[in-house]
Amino acid sequence: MSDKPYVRMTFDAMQRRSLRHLVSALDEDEFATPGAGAVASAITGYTEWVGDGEPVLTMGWDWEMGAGADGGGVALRRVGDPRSNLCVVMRPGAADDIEDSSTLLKILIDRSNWQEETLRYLQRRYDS
Amino acid sequence: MNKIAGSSSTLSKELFERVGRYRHKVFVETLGWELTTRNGEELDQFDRPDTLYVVSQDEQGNVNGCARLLPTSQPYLLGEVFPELMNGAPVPCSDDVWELSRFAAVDFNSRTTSALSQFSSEVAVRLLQDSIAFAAEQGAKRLITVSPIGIERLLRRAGFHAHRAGPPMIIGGHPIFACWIEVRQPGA
Repeated sequence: MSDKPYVRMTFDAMQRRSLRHLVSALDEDEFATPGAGAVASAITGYTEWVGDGEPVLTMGWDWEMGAGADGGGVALRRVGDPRSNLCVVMRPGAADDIEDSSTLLKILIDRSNWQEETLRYLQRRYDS
Repeated sequence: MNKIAGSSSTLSKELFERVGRYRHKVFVETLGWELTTRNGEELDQFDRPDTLYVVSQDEQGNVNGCARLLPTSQPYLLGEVFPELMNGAPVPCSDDVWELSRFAAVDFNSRTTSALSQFSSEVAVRLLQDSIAFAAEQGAKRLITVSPIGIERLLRRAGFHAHRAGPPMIIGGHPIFACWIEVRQPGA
């Protein structure tokens, strides 16, 4: 049995990898059964991205939809920890730490412009 | 919630049939998966005499959750049907790696649970914990699962460490992926 069921990568190497959008969706639960006094307080969903090249990287995270900064449109905000096949470390010799990796992945996600592509995809998917 | 775990021979014949019908209702009728069915039951080639099941029932005896466990040393779903989900890595083959599949926790008798989600309830968390504990009793040190990506959220909620074995693939319009689950007690 392999000791490490994940791809280990440094933060610098991760910054050089490009991710492409795979799929996004709204959470179904909040809309499927609006009974029992439930009130949807936010529109939420998930998005999935994959890295080109080898090793293949996969990352997904949840988002929440809210008002845009200009007050006119909508904006997506990451919520919670990302899910991936990665263990990201700051230096090549650093010990693997899943909590640290999660923090580094969140930094990478929040620095990237994933919202635009995700919103476009969601509009195509649900605009019918 | 009442939990029963065992093989098809240790579960009662009547309960095993109800599990097959429950799986049909979840995976075929609700999720629209194209699966092998027989007399209104969803069963495939991996439902063998040595296959283990964890079944959840409500107070009235209605099945409201199920899971299937297979050792990877024998033929199993990921190894036979979805090896590409391992992203090029060899499929596991070991007595201490078990596969969790056909996991569902839809309570069709509850007004507050979405029939569109397998994973939304507290029943789901407890069933997952019970399934992993039962696998550990069989000697599992790690689980691999082929699942819709929503199970990652459930694993986190249940306190388990999970890692993707590779990127999700869109099959039948739904993203599914292979996921490693470390077998240890939550919070350990």
